[in-house]
Amino acid sequence: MKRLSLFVFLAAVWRLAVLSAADLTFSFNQHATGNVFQTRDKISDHISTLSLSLTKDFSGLSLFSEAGYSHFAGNPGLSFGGATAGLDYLRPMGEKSALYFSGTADAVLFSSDFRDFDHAVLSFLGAFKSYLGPNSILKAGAALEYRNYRDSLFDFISQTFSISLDRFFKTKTTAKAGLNWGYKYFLHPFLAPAPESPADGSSQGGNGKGRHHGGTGYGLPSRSDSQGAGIQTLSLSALAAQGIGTRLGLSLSAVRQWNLSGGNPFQSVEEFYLAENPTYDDFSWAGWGLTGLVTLRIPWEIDLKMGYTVSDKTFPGIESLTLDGIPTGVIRHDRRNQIETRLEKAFSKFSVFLSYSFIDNRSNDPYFDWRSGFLTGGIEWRLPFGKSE
Amino acid sequence: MNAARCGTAFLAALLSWTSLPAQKLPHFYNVDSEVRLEGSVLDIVLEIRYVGNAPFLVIILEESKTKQRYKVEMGPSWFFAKDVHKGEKVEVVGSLSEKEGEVKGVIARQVRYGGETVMLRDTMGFPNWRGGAMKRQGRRRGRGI
Repeated sequence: MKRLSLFVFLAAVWRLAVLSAADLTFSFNQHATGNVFQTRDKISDHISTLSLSLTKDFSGLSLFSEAGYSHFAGNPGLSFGGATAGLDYLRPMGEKSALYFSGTADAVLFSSDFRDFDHAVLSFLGAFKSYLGPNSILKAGAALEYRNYRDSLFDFISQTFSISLDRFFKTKTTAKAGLNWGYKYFLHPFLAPAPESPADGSSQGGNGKGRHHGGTGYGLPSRSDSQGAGIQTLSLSALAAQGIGTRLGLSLSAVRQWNLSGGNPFQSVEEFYLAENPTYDDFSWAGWGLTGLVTLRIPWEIDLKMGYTVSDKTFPGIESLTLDGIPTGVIRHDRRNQIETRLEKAFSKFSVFLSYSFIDNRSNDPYFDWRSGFLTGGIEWRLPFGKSE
Repeated sequence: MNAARCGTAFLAALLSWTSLPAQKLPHFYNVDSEVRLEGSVLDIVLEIRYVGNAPFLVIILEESKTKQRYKVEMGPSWFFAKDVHKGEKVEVVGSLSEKEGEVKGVIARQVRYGGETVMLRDTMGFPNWRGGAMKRQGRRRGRGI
């Protein structure tokens, strides 16, 4: 009976795709890392990621949906599944400009250990792009996002505004500058007051697997009211890119981000590999980054990318701790060096890629002082149905 | 046994559905008229190419060898995702389509510039673009460049 239900479901999806000239994309990625939690504990994992997306275009309007599942073989509690549905709309304004709008709903559900990270997202995006001249492009955008977590500690609303301007020169050089402002407001990040407990390492939360990581234990039990906490950032970015023929490209980009107000309201900021940790995102740091990238078409029509990034980040509001969890009185500061390389080959109906990166993360918080490699291979298979435009 | 029979029936139904004829269009990707062009971008416009679809990014390309001009049709969402400029050296693989005035038309399936390769369609001409392109750009999933 279950098998029959599955057939009916697949038939319905297939039928929808065929009749509506939709595009179905299937992708499978296999990851291997020696440090899934990105800490000195170096817990390795093999992760399999499967996703399926379906898109249908109407007049200027596109409906899209995606469902995926990531299985963490070594840490199954971190496995998660997600689904996305949304629509976007492109409206031309003359021959050289266009407006873009999108609205999206997402849901992500984790397995046992990280259920606190389960969340639903509503996001809206508006963007404008215009050719000021044949060699110069102006872009502006605004985004609004609301996230609701199972552990309401992480609930937030955020908004960002961005603007960028580029220019292409006769020397085949592109120069680009951008400005980005963002504000994130955690709705209720403070735990209710609790009876005093000894200030030992376990008060950092965690699930017994280390000083930090776990679905709980990030909150600051220092505020008794339901007050929120905001964090405001401003960043400037610049890029210089040089094309050498059509087969070789070089680029150098830089970003400088300032924290204008507020700070991270949690005890810790942690960045996991592949799975989103709600304590870490583009709002959580101030500092700078510098990236050099080479893109090259090599024999057998393979695309090769090689990049090097150095970044220097502080985390406002986050104190560096000793390995025993004792505050050191200084703000956490990380200096990261990262090399990345990626090979990609497109075939008629599918494309495959292989990528490797190595990160050396030096931190004044010894728990986040680590070095590790990340290897990923993947396939993306497109299944278009209906008309060929 | 009954379940197996029902499954077979569904598979048969699926096969019959998938063999529905595609809608015939006056402007379509023809694999037999595929060409490879290399030249410079003369102009970039956004225009309606198909009734009932989003406007497309179109580039006017001057081929380096022959100085022949082509109107190259890219795709809808790429106007936001990729930045092409006048004067940029571009290599295009695509299907020749009907002339638009004195300019030959090309429906692009692969465009390469500045070391980047953009796969717009597969080798049969089916589009690769998907909705939510802007959102996907900002998404962080693992490492990689």
